[in-house]
Amino acid sequence: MSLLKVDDLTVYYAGEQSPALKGASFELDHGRTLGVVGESGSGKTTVALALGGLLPSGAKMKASRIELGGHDLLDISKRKWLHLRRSEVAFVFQSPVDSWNPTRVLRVQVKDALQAAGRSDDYSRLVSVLQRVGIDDPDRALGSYPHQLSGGMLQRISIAVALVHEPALLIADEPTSALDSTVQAEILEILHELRTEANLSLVIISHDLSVVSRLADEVVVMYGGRVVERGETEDVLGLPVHPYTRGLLASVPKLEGETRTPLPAMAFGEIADQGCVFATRCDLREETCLRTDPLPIEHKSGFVACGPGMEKWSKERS
Amino acid sequence: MAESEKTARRSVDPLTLWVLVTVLFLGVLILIPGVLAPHDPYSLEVSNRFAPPSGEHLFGTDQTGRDIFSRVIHGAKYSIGSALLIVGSASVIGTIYGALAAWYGGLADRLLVRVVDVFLAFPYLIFAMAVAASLGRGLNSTLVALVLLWWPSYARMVRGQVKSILNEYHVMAAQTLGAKKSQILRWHVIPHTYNQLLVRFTLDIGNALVALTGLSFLGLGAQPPTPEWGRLVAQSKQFVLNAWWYAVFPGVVIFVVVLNFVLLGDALRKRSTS
Amino acid sequence: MTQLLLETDAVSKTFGSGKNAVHAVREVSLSLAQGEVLGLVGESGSGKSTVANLLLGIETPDSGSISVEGRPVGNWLKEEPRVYREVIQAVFQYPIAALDSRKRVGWLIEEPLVVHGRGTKKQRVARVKDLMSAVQLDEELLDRFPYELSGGQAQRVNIARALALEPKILICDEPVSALDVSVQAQILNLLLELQTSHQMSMIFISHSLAVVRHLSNRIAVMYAGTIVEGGPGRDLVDSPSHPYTELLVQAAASSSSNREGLVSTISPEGLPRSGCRFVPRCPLATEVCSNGEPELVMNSQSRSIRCWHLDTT
Repeated sequence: MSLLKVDDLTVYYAGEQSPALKGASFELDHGRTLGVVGESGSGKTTVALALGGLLPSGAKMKASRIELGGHDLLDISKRKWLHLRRSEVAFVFQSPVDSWNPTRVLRVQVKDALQAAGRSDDYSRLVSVLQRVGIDDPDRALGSYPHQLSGGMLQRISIAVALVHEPALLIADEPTSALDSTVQAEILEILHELRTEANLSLVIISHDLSVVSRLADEVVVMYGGRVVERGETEDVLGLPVHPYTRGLLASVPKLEGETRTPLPAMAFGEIADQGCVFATRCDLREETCLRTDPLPIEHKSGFVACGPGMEKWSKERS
Repeated sequence: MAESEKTARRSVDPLTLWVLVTVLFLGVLILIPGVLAPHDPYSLEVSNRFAPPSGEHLFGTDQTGRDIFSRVIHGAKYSIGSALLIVGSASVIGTIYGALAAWYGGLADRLLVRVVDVFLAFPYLIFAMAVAASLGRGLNSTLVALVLLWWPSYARMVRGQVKSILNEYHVMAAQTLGAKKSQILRWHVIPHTYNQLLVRFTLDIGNALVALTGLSFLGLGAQPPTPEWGRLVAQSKQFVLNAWWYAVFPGVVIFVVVLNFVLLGDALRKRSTS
Repeated sequence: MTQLLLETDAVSKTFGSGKNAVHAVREVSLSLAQGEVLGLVGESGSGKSTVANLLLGIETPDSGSISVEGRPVGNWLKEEPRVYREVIQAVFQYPIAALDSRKRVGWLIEEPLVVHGRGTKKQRVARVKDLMSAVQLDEELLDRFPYELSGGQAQRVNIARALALEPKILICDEPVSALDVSVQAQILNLLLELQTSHQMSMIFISHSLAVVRHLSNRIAVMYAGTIVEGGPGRDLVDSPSHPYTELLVQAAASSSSNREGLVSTISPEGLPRSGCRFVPRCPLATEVCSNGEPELVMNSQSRSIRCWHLDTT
């Protein structure tokens, strides 16, 4: 049975004409990792906020189904939702430095955070969780001020605090983008290990394909508020179908191959109001793309919202 | 996108409208009071002294039969005009001083800050009284006293702002381009202080008006027969029992004008921080 | 690629003093030839941005010397600071913050021309348009404010500003790391095209090894304020010699879906005050490493390495 099931999720922010997220569907099984890839304006952070019930006031959310661990989140009361969030879902956010108050010792802040979440009892277990995320001397770390620790250490503490009550689902929004590449690799490794050890399901949201490809079993690629491609990580990132996914993968500099040659960069363009959101930048654009929203086409384990892309892909395979 | 731009242009932003109305109204009051005042503020009509408010004399008349409404309108020039002058001079002096202090830093800065501290340490009323007394009574010496009192707070505010703007990324970028110090200050620093300066300026017009009318009330500001508002209230105090309108109307006008500036300043602050 | 345009000799910079002193840059010696791109790679705190600031005259070195076109930069900045600015220009990390939010695009691109007294108003306006087309910016954007631009557009404005003076050297400090992935490629392509067509020399600084490798002829790897390895770009990535370079390559390489390649390192808390600074994270560290800091040694293939275990690496 799946832990998380979302069907046709649409979110409008107050005063906005176009949806920040439109018709997003995905699911996540126990102990699996879902990667959400997208750039700014793709709606990937809205996914995190919607799942966490953290949307700003005035935002409108619609869906035909959102289920978490068998609970229907659409019909549930605010209080019950809050309770569920505290017990089943945990969050880790981008900036490890900005999320702490620089003037206070971490121990005090951690205690306050747990107390505010109504989980003061968890503090006793924190030390062992800190050791599990690779902090060898938890007492010293907690007795420090934020500036005395590196970004990597702070992010480990954030992860430990999020995990101390053993949630079923951890939502990590750009958990490593503020960190150096070597530290980033360590944090990702920790998340990977925790997933297996603690039977944790993970939603990892990032603009960075490499982060997602390292951790995710399944990938959702977002552009302009839509899910444009979804499937197993090997399929989506190994043999991408949607022109956006292909373009994204191709445009990243690699560690092998030619240097000092132009990268296959995607064209510049605004998110289209009508038709396919990617049409303005797409090299496979047909006339219909400008008028009608592409329907999702089933492909391997997931789908692709692009007819011409699918055709091209099939031609290349045959 | 294009649609929302159009609608934004058509509907006038209420805050802008408020500022425009205030400026326009005060402009008329100060520059061409004759348009609004039905009577000559100085013409005596002893037979009609202490006439209560009526259609002819909206605010009644005073002990010499002068029309209080007309005197209040003509007094705006002295009261609001002086407040504008005080805050205007103080902000210009303060901005230049504060910007220079922040720019040069080091010893010059510390010295300039001490000077500001000395000024700010004086209780304003006593300081103004001392200055006004030594320069002789009258509106001009009170103006000088208040400007002397007022500029240091601007200097301090602008110095702080300039210090932080100088550390901003775009200033470093302009330095790398090779811009001269004076160009950076003029193009990239000072314009960024305008928002806060405007807020402070607006709030301070109210404050200066209170200070000025207060000093006039004590007899330090404008001298008779100038219809400066503080002066009007001061003169009315001996007749307050038999001519309530004499004290009340000028008092209410001061209150309304001060309130307008304070609320406007607050609204501007909210706008600039959001 | 023979004439040396820029040279630094054992440049050091320390911030703070006493116990809190941060040795941001320690005895860094670099050289940049005409038309060459030198990549500087390292993690945050490695001192790579301080090197950029030293070259740009935003910071002054505590010791060591920098010379450009054979002329000492310290004196040059004192005597003719604006002439120096015409030779060396920069593009920074945060494209929108680097632009004055109260000025319009046209004004911002014209600014360097005004500052350096280039041309008449009419000539400047024409030049602004040329520059905009050189960086592929639509002329419609002339009257926009920075906050009305996308990150990529704003970075193009910054590049146009830097190019306006036709500098010989362009310092790029993390120019794409704040941009969306699909925009990064556009900006990298633009920088490469401009560098080649203008025969500019470039110092390209980034935390991303792949990005640095893509643009650079040579790469210098910085760790804890010093250069730990330097050499021709592709060669250095293909066969890293210093254990830290190896770590960087591994961290970047495991982005392709092989999870087994993940590195696990010791947490980077508190650098050693003496000896090789990489000791706490180094798999090869022995006693000798903590005793003294190794020299940067030139070995074959124009590669230089700072490590006691040269023979084993």
